[in-house]
Amino acid sequence: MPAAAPFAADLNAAQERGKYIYEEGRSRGRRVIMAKIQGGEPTPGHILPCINCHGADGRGAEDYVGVAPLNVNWYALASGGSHQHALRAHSPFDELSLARAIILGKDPDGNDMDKAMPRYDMAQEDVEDLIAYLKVLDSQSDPAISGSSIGLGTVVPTEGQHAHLGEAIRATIQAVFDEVNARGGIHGRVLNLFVGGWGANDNPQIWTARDLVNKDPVAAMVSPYIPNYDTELEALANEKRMPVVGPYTVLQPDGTDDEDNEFTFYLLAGLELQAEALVQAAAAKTDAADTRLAVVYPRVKFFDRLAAAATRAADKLGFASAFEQVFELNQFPAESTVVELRENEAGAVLFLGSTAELVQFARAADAAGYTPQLLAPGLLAEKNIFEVPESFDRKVLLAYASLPMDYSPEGAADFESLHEKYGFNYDFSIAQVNAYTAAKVLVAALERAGRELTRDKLLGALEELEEFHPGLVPAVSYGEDRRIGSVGVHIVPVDLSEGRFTEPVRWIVPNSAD
Amino acid sequence: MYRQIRDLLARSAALAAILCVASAPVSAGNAPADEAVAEAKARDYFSNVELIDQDGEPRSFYDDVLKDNVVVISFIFTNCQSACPLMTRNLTMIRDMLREDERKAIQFVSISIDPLRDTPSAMKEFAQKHEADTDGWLWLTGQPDDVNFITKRLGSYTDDPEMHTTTLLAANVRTAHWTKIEPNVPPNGIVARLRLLVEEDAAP
Repeated sequence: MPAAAPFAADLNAAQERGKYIYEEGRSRGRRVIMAKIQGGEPTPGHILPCINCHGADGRGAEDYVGVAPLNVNWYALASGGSHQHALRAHSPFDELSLARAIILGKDPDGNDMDKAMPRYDMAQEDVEDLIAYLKVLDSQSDPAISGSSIGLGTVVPTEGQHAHLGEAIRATIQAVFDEVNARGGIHGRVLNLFVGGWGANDNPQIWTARDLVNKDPVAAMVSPYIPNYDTELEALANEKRMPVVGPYTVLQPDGTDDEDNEFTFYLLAGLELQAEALVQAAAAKTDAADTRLAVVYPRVKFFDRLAAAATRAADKLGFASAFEQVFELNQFPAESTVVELRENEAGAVLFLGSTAELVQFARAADAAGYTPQLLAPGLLAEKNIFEVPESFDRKVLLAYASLPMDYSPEGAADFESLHEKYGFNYDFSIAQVNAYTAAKVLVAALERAGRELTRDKLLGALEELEEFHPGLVPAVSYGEDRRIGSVGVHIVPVDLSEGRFTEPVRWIVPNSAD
Repeated sequence: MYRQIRDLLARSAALAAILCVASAPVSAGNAPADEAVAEAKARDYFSNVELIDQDGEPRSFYDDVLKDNVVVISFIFTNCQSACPLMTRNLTMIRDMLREDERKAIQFVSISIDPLRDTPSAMKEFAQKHEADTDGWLWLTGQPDDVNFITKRLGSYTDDPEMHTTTLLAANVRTAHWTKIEPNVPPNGIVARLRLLVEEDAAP
């Protein structure tokens, strides 16, 4: 662990030697340490150091290749409660019985311990050092959180065609942090931003995130932009027990089935929730029981998930039926799709292609005298949405997780002043709003987490955010089982005769009574 | 355990099939023209997909890794806490047991089977930890599709890293002699096998 240095000074000599044994499986005294696993041949201790299974924090893991390495923090070992095995309970450890456990594999009651726990042949002095370290393991501070600073990270493109977007995100986060730091930081700690940059080559962008958290002391991540690696980022966050606030993405799940995600806090409704909200809006406009819904989408990673969510929503809302129409990316067959949908009597069409493709579809449909309701996430819609023929007037509904109408006067003024002071450009306003909001949410959680900060406390503080107004988007709330801050969606009808968005804008919270 | 054994068996069978395909045309003759044809076929089979080494440098798999070499290939992932460190430890021992001229003649290759988590720097750190970040030892990762393609071609693909093969591949690529070495072969046995492969090259 390269980040070990900053707090090693807090350890006394014995504890430091113990830490070396724990992490490296070697003795500072150059005494041989051998490990024997499952009665096999002895192998050098550095092949099987404690940290491999019990982790840097000593908390172990729930399941690792069929065994569960236990919490070896002293409070857990020496108290009766927290150190329990599935099939075996035993009295608490003391120094003597713990030494016996490490060397002979016997628990305090003399039972054999699990075979997966190696038996270590090591000198008495080394065992003592190791136990000295285990006693302070739980009070070891996070290398990313010092007395005077907190290390926070983001990952953005810094080279290549998206570098400007990356710079907009970075500059916005830095501006929010600079303002906080100018006021003295949070509970006496300044916020340091570490940036991982991708774009110089075709390597998987998630590598940049991994390298950043392995190399730099980063306690949490803010507004990372790592397209197409949402799941891998969630996994990384869980693995490092590192909160990630506001990834810049639209592919977050709808929040109903994401038990795999513990540490990633999304800001707004993604495409999945937007698709569900659009279906809900369509149900309100037509007689659902008589309406067949078609979901038209390109064959792109994750889009099948969006279609499935929409189909589920249609099912729940009592649509007559729902079916999917998939096309190859960039090869949208407008005419044949119109024929197909018309034959199947689709009264509402959720369209997940580009606006250009939507316009093609609408023109072909118009020519055929077929004018179903058209539903589309606004993010995918560009200005040429107004090229949709007038026969679709007010039959086009767009979904947005957030709109300028969500700006609070204070939020707008604050963002405007950052704009002035730091010379932002507005070319990437969605990315900047995301970065600004993520930074505000993180700052709010850090303030609430208090001076005795740990990653787990930050996690708890994020979960406790309730109706927090970041300024430019709807209020966000999290909870123990909630990882999407704002789950509502604006539904905007399009006035095609006037060529503008129109009223009434509806606010739909999918899966709620509404 | 049964699943592990079954999977190992399945992979061994796949590997055997692949090795037949790879070596059959090559052993047909010795004329330079035949060799060129054989090499083209081998390149075609193993491909020149670019993997990334522990220093972040791209490596075309056939031309930069295999071509004209005696290779020992292992499959690892850096988060692995049992088999991979032990296997790597064995390989460093084997490497130390070789004479210097033999060591120079052999390209050690360790390929990640968890490429999204194994960044080049993670591979380097793993190699350094095992004193194996050295000339003549490539630690390869890359785009998942590319890495999976190569591990499939080598008969060692798995979608579950925990269940990955610990079988080593050893080959004299020039003579198209490929063998697999089970992990329970003692180090001096492996050294002997490698010597034979190196000597094959020296034979007239």
